[in-house]
Amino acid sequence: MRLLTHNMLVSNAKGVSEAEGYPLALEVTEHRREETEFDVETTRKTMETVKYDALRGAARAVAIDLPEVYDGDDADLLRKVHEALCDVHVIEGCLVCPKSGRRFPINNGIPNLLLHEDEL
Amino acid sequence: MVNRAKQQQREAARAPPRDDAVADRYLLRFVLEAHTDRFRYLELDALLRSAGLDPASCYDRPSAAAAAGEEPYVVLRAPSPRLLRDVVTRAILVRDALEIWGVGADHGACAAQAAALEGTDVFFGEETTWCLGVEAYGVGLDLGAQEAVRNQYRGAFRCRGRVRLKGADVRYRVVEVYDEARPARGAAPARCYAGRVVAASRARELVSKLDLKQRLYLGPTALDAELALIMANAAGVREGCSTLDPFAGTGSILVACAALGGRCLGSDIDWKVLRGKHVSERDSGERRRGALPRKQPSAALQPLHADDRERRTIFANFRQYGLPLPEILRMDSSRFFDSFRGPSIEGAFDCVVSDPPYGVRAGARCAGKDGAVKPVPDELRREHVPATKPYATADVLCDLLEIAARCLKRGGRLAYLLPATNDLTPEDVPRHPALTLVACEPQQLSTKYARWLVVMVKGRDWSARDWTPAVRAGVRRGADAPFAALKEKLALPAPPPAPKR
Repeated sequence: MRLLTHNMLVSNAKGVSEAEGYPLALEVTEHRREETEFDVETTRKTMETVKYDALRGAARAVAIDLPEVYDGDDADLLRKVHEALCDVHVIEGCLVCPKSGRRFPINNGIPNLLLHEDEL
Repeated sequence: MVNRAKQQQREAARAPPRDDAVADRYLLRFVLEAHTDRFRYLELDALLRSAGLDPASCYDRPSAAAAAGEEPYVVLRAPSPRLLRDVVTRAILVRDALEIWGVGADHGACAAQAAALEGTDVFFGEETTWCLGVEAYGVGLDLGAQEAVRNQYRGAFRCRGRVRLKGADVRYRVVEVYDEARPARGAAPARCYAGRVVAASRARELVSKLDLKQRLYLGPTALDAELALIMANAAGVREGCSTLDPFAGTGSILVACAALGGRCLGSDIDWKVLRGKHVSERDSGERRRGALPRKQPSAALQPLHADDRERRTIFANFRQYGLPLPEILRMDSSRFFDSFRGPSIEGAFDCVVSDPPYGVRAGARCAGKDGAVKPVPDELRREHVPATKPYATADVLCDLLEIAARCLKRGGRLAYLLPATNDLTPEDVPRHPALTLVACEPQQLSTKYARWLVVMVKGRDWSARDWTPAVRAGVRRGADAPFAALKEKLALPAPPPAPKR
């Protein structure tokens, strides 16, 4: 799972609204970096739909420090943002609902968002 | 190197003068395959559109007989060779394109036109190798007959360089087209074309490269590589397109989309499919999930990744081809939008490509349990496998349309497969208020059943009013007339016998 996907996900636990279930806390036990091509324009475009604060929180879990304020004109920052969004793959870890505490495990790079039958 | 640069300069300087009668016209030759012949024009139209061209102004739609595969040629008007090359190189079902230099009722007229076009100038140097192919569809031409045709074009294709049959720098071709599907021996062709091959499909190579026989990780429902590639093209997947498959399975559609340059997101509910298997694990019923491929991997593929030696997952298939990894989520597509922040997913995708489960080869499941639900004890929750219940076909289609309608950008396309009887009509295909049907063509499976490839485009913005619970329930009950007709025609297996107690 890349952090770009983490940025899109909300908790689907019952009774948790979209606002309450976002962002999911990210716990990482194993992650990996695979460098991909960086393009300033693409990254800037991607950032239009990305919530920066959530990205910043998630990036901390994979040891990337992003500054408090996002600046789309800062090429160095965009490179770092690209690295966080696209190059980091969380292999093992957990996503935690901020409201209910429901844990969604990530195994082999695949987050499991499926609820149990008694949670629906 | 110097020679080559010089040669290119010379070629550029002496480009053939164009005659208005034949300028910008190209003869496209389709791939000859019975199982894909109905998809030819569907794919060509999608590629023309994605190159910014209007299919209606590019070629005259052939008669029904020709479209059904009687004649594998079509004359295309393209405003520039660059656009033509863009279309042809990405096509799966087009073999190559001939720049038409001459066309005529017989070889004499055709050769004269080609000769007049070229003028008296010899525009390829001695270093340039060339060949002249003779091709006829429906009849076999022996070597003598081919040579007789070639002789008529001596004046039209004058080259100073050496002839090379394989790998020539310049390839000329003469094509005979007959009116009847099987012309009598010695019959005269209806038309003759002569010209130079200017573009050939490059994407076609992916059909063998992505062959399932060499795929590392397969499930029982893996989709054949060629059809997956055609679907990806039909949905308009190209470099940098964001692509979604909400019923990803082992990712055979996403592999094809990624091979054409798409960035992929896939989801599936099946834990076994996504999680992968240890190399030593085997299923009797589900062939080779995670075991070694039947065929030795070819040199074109990447060496086995360290991650894939012991356990194979859906990612192994992407690493094998050197493709960027997709994003995979295990989730229930019947509750797709519960897991996403609205603005991040709505209008975020260029293409949705899917082969949803219809219960034909893999029973569709969604989360939940019919009847009484027992709470899961806390100490067992970690390892608990969530219960799933059958996912009705009408619901699968409803959810797929809704996901596409919300997740696509305006102008984005959905391509999916629909198993049905041969007599399905476009009116029977389920509709969504935000999606417009573009094409619906069959691949014959038996005398009664076919697999229909349905292509839809998002015509306008999605609105919650389009798809209220009431509308949805109406479709679900089969009250909607087209949907009821479809349900009757869906090629679904008989329900399994009740389990013995």
